[in-house]
Amino acid sequence: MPAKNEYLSTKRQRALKITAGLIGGYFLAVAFQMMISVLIPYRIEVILTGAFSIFMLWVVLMITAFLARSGWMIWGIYLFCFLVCSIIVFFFK
Amino acid sequence: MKLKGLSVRLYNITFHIHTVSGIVISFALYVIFFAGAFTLFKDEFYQWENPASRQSLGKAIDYDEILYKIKQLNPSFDLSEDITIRTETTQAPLVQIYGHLIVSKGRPEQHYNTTYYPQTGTFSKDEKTTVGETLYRLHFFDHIPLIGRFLSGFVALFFAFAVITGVMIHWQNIFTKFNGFSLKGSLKNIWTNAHTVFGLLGLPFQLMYAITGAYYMLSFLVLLPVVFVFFGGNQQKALQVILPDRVLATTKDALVTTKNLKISSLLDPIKNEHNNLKLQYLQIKHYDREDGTLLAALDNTKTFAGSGSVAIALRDGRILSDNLPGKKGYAQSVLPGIARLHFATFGGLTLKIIYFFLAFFTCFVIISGVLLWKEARNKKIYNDKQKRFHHSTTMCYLAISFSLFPAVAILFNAELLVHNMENHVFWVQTIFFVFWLILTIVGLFASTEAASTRLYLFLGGLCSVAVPITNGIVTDDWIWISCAKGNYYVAGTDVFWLFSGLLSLLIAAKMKLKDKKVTESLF
Repeated sequence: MPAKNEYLSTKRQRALKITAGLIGGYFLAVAFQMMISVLIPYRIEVILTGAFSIFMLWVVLMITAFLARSGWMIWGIYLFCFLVCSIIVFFFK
Repeated sequence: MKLKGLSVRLYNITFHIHTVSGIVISFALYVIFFAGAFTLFKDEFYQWENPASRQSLGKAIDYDEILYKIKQLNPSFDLSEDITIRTETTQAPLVQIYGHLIVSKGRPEQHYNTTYYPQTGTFSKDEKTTVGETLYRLHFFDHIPLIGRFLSGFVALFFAFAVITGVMIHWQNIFTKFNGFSLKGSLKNIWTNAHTVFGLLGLPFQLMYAITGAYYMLSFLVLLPVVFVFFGGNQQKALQVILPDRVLATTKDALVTTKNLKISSLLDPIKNEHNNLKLQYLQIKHYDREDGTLLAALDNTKTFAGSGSVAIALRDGRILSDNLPGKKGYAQSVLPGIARLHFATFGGLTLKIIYFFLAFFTCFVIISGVLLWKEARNKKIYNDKQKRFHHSTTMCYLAISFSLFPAVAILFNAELLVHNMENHVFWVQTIFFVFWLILTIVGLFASTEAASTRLYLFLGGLCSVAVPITNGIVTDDWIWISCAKGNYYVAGTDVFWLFSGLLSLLIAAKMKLKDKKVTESLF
């Protein structure tokens, strides 16, 4: 019953996906939450909601990182989304 | 009814990350849930661990008098610094005071804590007891220096990871799995069913704990970026905006006064107006200055949004901010809401008991997951070395996890057995951790999982039954005497240990019989 190896990724891909999920996922989750907080007029409420929603989002992003076919691709996507969120936060804060 | 499942590739990946994350955090998570389950009742068994507090609450307590008494006994006690008073409850009929000492300018602040026993009117500076505190700190690995808290935070985060991937794996058949429990089939089938069914039953509970636990230990990861981006790195400013009810401004050069109103005269009208609320703690700033403030935190422990606070000016009793239940908005309710979910303080004792059982279900899910991991690898494609590794890992995890049960019972015994010793807390904790280690090592010599389980049930049973006996011998409060005195918190603790001890011994005995039959049928 253990998972079949042919579907699992190589060492390098795995390292990429783990870092993408843990580090990229964290920064993207925080940036996304902040973006929401600057876009809608309830900044403090959204920031406080982050106390739990950031962790949920982070975990989901960790899982999605593993589901991706390429570790480079998922790093790219997370980095791009992080930049978009950051720019919006920068201009609307 | 079938739902749309994952594709073969995604299923295998999800399965793999679920297994790896689960097996890595398993025993740490077991310790967290086991110790945490007892911590839920920390206040309820407080009188058990501290015989000096086994008295009922007398007349109303005068907090001003307590502060003056402290000042008399210890003139360097600083009445102008922040003072927190944890007020008395029926569970723990004593008052705890956390304050500061006067230090010359530029020196680091010095804390001063003391406990006041209202029945005798005496103070006690030392921490006298430790069971609740030890279990509480154990459940976030506070005994591991520096990294313990982060470690437990990441265990919680990866627990969320394991829970969500687990749901993804079973998504397709989630409706049939709900009532798929059966004790038939091979060991692997039994552990699989148990793991899935109990995992599903406890799902909301487990996900809630994973997220709130991660918040408590890793909240700095959420707060730091906010402080950095929105407040230019000024933490104080951030706290004032985010938690305005907790930060009350005072000025440094406010004049000293003796005309401030009495704390009890300020509290009485609030208590009378909200008689369903109970006082939790008081925070006093500038007690002897003109701009002094009193923040009273009150709580109705029977409703979810029942906590709140009110801030009053000490000079004239003016209400500075009113965040009592019913007046709070969403922003003031998020963090208290997390606390209420995590500490189960919104539905009385019944809710705590439900939480306790759900926590044990979770422990069971963790253990069955480990056993399932091993049984699923009991196949020809694995060589002997790999199989030995799977076996010894499982035995090691079981030993660490199951030995916690007798160790906690020993902790309770030790608290009363070395009752009046110097360095009491140190000795009790040493006994607990040393015995936990010894018990773990003993379990490693067991040959099978069943033998190890039986051993720990037997040892745990004996130590548990010893708890009410130790209490009876040391304090003369035997179960029936506590009951007659009406001290149900002490009696309840004793009955719990007696019952769980007898139950464990019974199960251990049953297991023995079953094994004998097997061996008899073999020969």
